[in-house]
Amino acid sequence: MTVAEIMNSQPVTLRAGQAFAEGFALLLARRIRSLPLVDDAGTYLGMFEVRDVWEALLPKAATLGARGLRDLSFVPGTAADLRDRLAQAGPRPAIEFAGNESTPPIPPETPVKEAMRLLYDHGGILPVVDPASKRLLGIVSTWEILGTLG
Amino acid sequence: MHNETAHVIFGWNAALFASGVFTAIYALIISEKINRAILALCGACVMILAGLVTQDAAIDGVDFNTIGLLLGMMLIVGITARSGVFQYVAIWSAKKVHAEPVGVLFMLSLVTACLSALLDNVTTVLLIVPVTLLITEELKVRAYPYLIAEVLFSNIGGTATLIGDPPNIMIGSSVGLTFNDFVYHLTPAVIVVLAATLAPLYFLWRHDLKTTPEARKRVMLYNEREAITDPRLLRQSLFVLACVIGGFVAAHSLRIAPATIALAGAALLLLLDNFSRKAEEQSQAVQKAFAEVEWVTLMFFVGLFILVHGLNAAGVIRMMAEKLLEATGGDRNTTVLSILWGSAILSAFIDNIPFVATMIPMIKNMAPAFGGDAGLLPLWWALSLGACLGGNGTLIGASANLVVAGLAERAGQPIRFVPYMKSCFLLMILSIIVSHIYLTLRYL
Repeated sequence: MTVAEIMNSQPVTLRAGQAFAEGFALLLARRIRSLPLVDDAGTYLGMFEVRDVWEALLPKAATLGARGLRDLSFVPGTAADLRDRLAQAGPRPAIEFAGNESTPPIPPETPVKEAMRLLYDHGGILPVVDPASKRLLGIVSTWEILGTLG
Repeated sequence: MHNETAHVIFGWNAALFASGVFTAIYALIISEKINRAILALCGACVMILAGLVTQDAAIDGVDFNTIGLLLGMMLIVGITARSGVFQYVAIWSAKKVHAEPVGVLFMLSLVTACLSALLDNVTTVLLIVPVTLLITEELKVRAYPYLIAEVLFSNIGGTATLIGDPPNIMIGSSVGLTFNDFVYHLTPAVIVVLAATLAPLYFLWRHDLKTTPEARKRVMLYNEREAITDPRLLRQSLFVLACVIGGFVAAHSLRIAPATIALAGAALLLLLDNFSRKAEEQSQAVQKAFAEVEWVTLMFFVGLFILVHGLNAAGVIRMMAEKLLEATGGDRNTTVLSILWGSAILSAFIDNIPFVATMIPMIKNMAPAFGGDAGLLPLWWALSLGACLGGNGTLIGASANLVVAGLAERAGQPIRFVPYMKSCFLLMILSIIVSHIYLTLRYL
């Protein structure tokens, strides 16, 4: 069984020109953790994820990976501070935040077992991309795979 | 026959062959195309395989006192950092000046210099830069001046002690100079350099150092006590650090090598940290502690020591020393100042570790010309001041510079080569002028 047989071929996507605020609204409205970003031709550009929202809300020093601050217990924060940060990120293009995702794009002929391993390692959703045209063909998440078992 | 050296290798003169290998490795290190640890190990292997040094002689050439000191301090600092003490100190210092941007610049610079005198420079900036980015973001001021100041002061502070910067560790270990020797001879110079560098920094960036009372208030609300994530580990770490520093001070009279002190400290801290843990947790904690050791740096040192040993065995170092003495007319004062300026300019562009590794045997070879080992003392201080402070000249001059540049880039405040050099090369020259005056007044 390959991912082409079970993928969701009509996923909700975000367009390259759309702003961070639109991506954030979509994540919130649909209670999903990531959205594939595509251009007008449907070319896959990356993922816009909840992690990108955290990146916009947290101080830069905490988003530097292993070399960043590992603890922010000493930094007080208010809802107003967070709204302020969200408002600052809002008009910026969502594409600016993409590109840090850990889930790699996979070709449609990828075996489901390999997709399961990737989901086990990385979580999130896997974008299924045509290797030649780079077009997004669909997505595979835990639910598509578990759905085949039910 | 440990030190037997071939005189002809593949039909080449041994000195010529060793010089060729060394120059090629040096050029590749500068090009940064291949990791420097790989290059140093390749160079070391070529020296052994070509018969310039035997394997036993190569192992004898590795200064395990330097390796042990670095390893011990890396372990101690890695474990101590987990307690949050360094964040505590940085926040405390910023609040002491009421989060006023100019005061914060001065305080973080001084904290960086002091920490750097006791810790490795790269470790220091890795600990201070994230807190700096946090504070500057909160103050809504550019992080750039602060990051540049931290680069400069990590290299300046590191010059002050035996354990502050790898070149000092190498010099101290190879020559037998103690922690106290470095404090007595170099710390006064470093204090003057610190003062001389702080003032221009203020004039360069005073227009950037402005914020609002609201922003300052936000920083003042930081609770530095919350930064201490593990009070028990903090107590243990401070106890061990105090013992280690005390050990360095008393090392000479106790006749204990610095590496033994650092490794004993690391062993004690590992023991204290893991004493009450279950076996499985211990494995994880010890694995984590050792994973934070910069093995790439340590292996670079191992390769480099063998490479330089091969060069020495081939007689190249002796020839280089003779050439330098010839150029300075055998005059000690000229030699001291030539080493100071030469080291500074070269260290601004090339890695100061291989440079110092080459210079140490070269200076040792000059002992007969200057009345024995005691006569070499000013040369060692000139080498240390030049090699450590010279690293401030360009963005590639020291590892700490590149680490800060990397963090700055990720934080969206890039530091570029030319703008950095425009301001910092002159500041480096200023520090060398101060060192020149210091060496002249005190030793020449």
